[in-house]
Amino acid sequence: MKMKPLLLGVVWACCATTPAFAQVCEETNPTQAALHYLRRLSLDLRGRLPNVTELESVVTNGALDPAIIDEMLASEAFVGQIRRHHRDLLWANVGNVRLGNNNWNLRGSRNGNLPISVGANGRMTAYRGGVTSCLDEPATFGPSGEILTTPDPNNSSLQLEGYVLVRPYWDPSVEVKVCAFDAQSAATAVDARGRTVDCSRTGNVKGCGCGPNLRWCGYNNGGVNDDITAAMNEQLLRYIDRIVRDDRPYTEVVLGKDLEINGPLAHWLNHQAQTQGFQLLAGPAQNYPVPDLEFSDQAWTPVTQGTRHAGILSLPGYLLKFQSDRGRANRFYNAFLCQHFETTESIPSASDPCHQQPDLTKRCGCKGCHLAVEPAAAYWGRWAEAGVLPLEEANFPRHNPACEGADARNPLCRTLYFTQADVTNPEIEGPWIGQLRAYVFADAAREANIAAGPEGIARAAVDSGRYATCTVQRMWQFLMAREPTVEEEATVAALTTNFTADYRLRSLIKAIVTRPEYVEGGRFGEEE
Amino acid sequence: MNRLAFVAPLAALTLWGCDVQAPNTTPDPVIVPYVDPTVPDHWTPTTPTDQGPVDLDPPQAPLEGKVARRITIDQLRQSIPALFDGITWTIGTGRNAREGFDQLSGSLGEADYIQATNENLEPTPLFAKFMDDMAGDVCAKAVARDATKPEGDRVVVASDSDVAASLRFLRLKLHGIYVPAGNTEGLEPYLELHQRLFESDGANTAWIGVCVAMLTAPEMMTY
Repeated sequence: MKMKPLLLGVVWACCATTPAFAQVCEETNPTQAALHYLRRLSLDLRGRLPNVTELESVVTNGALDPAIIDEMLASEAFVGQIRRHHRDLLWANVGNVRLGNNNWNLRGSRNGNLPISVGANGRMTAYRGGVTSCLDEPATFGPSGEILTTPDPNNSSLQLEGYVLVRPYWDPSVEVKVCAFDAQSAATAVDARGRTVDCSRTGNVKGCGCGPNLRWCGYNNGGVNDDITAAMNEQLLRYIDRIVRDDRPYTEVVLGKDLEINGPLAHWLNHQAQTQGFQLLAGPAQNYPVPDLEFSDQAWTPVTQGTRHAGILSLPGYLLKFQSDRGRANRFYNAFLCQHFETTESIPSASDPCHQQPDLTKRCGCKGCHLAVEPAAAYWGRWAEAGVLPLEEANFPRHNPACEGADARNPLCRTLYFTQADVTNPEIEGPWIGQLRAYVFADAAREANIAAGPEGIARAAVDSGRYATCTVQRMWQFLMAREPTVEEEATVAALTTNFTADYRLRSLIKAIVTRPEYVEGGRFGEEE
Repeated sequence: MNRLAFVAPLAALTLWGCDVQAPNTTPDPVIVPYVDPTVPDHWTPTTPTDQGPVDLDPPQAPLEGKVARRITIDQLRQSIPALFDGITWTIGTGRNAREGFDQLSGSLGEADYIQATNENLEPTPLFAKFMDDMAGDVCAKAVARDATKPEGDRVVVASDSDVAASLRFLRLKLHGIYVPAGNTEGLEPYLELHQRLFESDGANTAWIGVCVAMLTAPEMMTY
C-alpha cells in the first residue's frame, strides 16, 4: 500500500508531461475538440474548470460559441488570473520584511490579559532599570502627572509602574492595557543629558513612549505589521488589476501615475516609517501627498504619484522585495525585458590584482554584467536602498560635505553616502567620498539615468519595443505552457506589432488563444 | 472505507488511460555498461578530431501546439467548490477545519515568493498522495450531500437508476469528455469499478470510489 501514491505519480507523470498524452487523449471529433478548447480557455482565463452548463452548450451546438471568450476576458476571474501571473513575475510578497526594530515593537502577553509593552532591552532598562515589564495593576500618578513606580519585591533595582487603558490605533473600538511608560504620548522629552528629544524618533528616553494611541509603535502580536506588509503586496497587485480590468495600455504597469493607498500603509508612512530608526529608510515624503488615513481604514484611496515615480517600479511592494538598486534593475530586466544578466567573461585567478579594482564596470570577471547592470541600477539611484524613500536633491544633495570626514559615522552618511569607511583604494575612490552612493563611479550617462528615475528605464524599454516583445513572449508562455520556438519568431513578431498599436493585454491574449496552436492544443501539427 | 482506500487509487491507476494503451507487461531493462569510445581516462588531455557527421539540411522541428500541463493548486482551489456546489477539501473538523489547499500549500508546491518563487507543477508522489486525500474528502462529502438532494441538483450521482448516465455526467464535468447516450466508450472501467464496489460495499461507496477515480485521473489533472 505504501507504494500506491508513488506508482500513481510515476505512471501519471509519464502520461501527463508528454505532448503525446494530449495527442492521444484528445478526440479528433469537433465536439470533443471544442470541449477541450473550452476547458483550456476556462482554466487559463478564469482559473477554474468550465461548469456543466457551458460544457453542455458545446455538446448541443457541436462547437464553442466564440462569444464565451469575450465573456471570460471581461470577467473578474480573468483579472485574477493576470494577477497570479504578475505575482509570479514580481515575486509579490514582502511578508518577511522587518519594518521596525524592537525598540518600537509592542509585545502582548501570552494569555492576552497582561499589559502590553515594548520588549526591547533599551526601553525596558530606561523605564524600569532592567529587563522587565510593568505590574498588572492600574498605574498611579504624582501631583504633576509623573508616573509613580514601586520597587520590585524580588529585585530592588527595578522600579515598576502599572498600566493605563489605551484605545490603540489598530483598533480604536477597544481599550487595551498598556504599561504606563510605553503608553506615554508626549511629543518631546528631556534625556539624561538634559537635551530635548523628539519622542517620535527616540526609543530609549524615559519620558518618551509610543505616542498618542500608540501610533509610533508596531504590534506583532496583533498582526499590525502583517497588515502593513499585506497592504504593500496588495497595492502592487491591485495597481495591475485596475489596468487590466479597465483595459488600459499595459505600458501603464511601469509608466502609470495613479497608485492607491489604504489605512495601514498611510499610517505606516505617516507615523512609523521614519520613526523606527534606520531599519528601513522611509517616511511621509513620498513625492505624493500621503493621505491622513486611520490605520483601521481598509478602503483604498487613489493618489497621483509625483516625481521619480513610475508605475509599480516605485511602490513599496517592489522596492522592498528588491531592496538594492541592482536587484531592482535585475528584476526589471527579467520580468519586463525577458533578459538575464549572465557573463561569458572568464574570471582570472584570485591572486590577480585586477580583482582590486573597486569599480565593478572595470573589475575583471564582474564587468561582463556590471557594464550593463550599473547604468540600469542608476535609474533607482535616487530611491533609498533597503527603503521606500525618494532622495530629492534638496534633502539629499549629490555631495554632502558632512559625510566627508573620517568621523562621518551618523546613520544618514553610513547608509546613503560614500564615506571614508567605504574606501578600499584611496587613489581610485578618493574623489567620490561624500557623494550619494549612486553617483560613485557614475559617468554622464549614468548621471542622466539617476536624474530620470525608474521612469527612464521604463520609457526606454517601451520605446525600444523590447517591453512589447517580452510581454508577448510572456503571454505566449503563460498560455502555451512553453516558450515560442525559433520557427514561431514571425508569429511572435506579428503579435508584437499588433500589441504595440494600443498595448491592450486583453486583445493580445485573445489573439493568442484563438490561434490554431492553442485551439488545437496537442493535435496541432497533426495531419487530418 | 478501508476497501475503498485501496480500490479507488488502484482504479485511478487503471482508469486514467482515456484510450491510452499501456503495455501489458514491462520488459526487464537491458543494462549496457558504458564504454567511452574516445577517452581512456579523465586525466589525459584529448583533442577530438572526429566531429561526427554534419547534416546541412536538418529536418524541420515538428509543429507544436499548446503543451499539456498539470493543473495548478490555485486552479483546483477555484474549481473544486465550483464543481461540487461549494464543497471543498478540508483538513480537521469543527472549528479546526481548514481548507486543505491553503493548509498544505507549501507541501503541494505552491510558491510563497519567500521560500519558493516558482510553483512546482511536477506530478510528484507527494502531490498524488494529497490529491488522493483531497478526492476522498471531497467525494465522500459530495456523495453524502447528493443523498439529500433531488437528482437535478446533485453534483456526483446524477441518476440513481442509470449508472451510465451518472458516469457520463461526471466524465463531461470533470474531464470535459463527452460520451453520447447509448455509448459506453471510455466508461467501461468506471462501470466495472462501480459494479465491484457496489457489490461489496453498497451504492455510496461505489459512487465515492468512482468519484475519487475520476477526480484523481490525469484527464482531470492536466489540460
